[in-house]
Amino acid sequence: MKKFVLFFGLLLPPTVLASCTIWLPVTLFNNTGEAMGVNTGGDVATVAPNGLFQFRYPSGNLNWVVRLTGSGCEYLYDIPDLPRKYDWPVILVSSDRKGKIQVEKDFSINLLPPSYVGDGPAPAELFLMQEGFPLRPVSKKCG
Amino acid sequence: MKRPGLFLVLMFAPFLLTACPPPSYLTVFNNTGETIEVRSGRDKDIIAGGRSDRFDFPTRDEVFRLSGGGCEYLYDFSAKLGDYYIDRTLLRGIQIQAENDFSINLLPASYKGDTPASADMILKQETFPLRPVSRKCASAPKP
Repeated sequence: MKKFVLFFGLLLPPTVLASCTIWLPVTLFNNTGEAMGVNTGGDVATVAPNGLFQFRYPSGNLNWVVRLTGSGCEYLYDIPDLPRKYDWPVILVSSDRKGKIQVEKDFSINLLPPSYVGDGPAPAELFLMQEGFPLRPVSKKCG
Repeated sequence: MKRPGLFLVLMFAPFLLTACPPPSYLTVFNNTGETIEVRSGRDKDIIAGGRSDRFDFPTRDEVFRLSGGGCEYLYDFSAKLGDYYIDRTLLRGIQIQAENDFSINLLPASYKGDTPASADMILKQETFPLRPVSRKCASAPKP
């Protein structure tokens, strides 16, 4: 019976870990001036104006996209390479290492420094100028 | 010693069950005339021209990608398929066909062929032929 216990103790944790994606924490700030819907595939929420939303970025998912809704339209964003470009941590560590992004009035997305500690949208001078940002939606459906 | 064993089984079973939802599929027929790469869900594979392959259905993000001719195409697959009936005996899920202009046609779930279907088999649905929402080319696309 000891072997049985050892078997499950050693076999199951790696199986569980392998069947799940490694997630990276992301904070999204709403600077659109209106309430906004967020759908990251697993997490769906409404974010108040100047509010924030925290979700998990599936680093192992090759197809990752985000959908935002506001003013009667749905915006689809394609951001498959964000972690590599942003140098996000693979291991979940302290909150100052989380990814931070900000949605603007025109529904473009800016990248904020991981060190940003504010609870609301950041001023434009803090935006990181990295290739691919500001990120624009690849599609917009209205009505 | 029976109790620890039972404890481990009961503790990890819910993790496994929630981490692995029941499979649903997307079968892609390659009628582009060239080799393409398909990424759907966590699956990624290459399909030779005139062949087909089965992938995970992109349940979470509702997008899939095709690569061919030096370009990558992203498709928004969030549209409702109406009364599309999944043939559970075939284990192919939704069947689609990539054409040589990288538009996507919908095939009947009952289609049993292993090679692309003829034009008269293609279903006429509101959202089909599906067009890519984005195209990224590493170099100039083939004419």
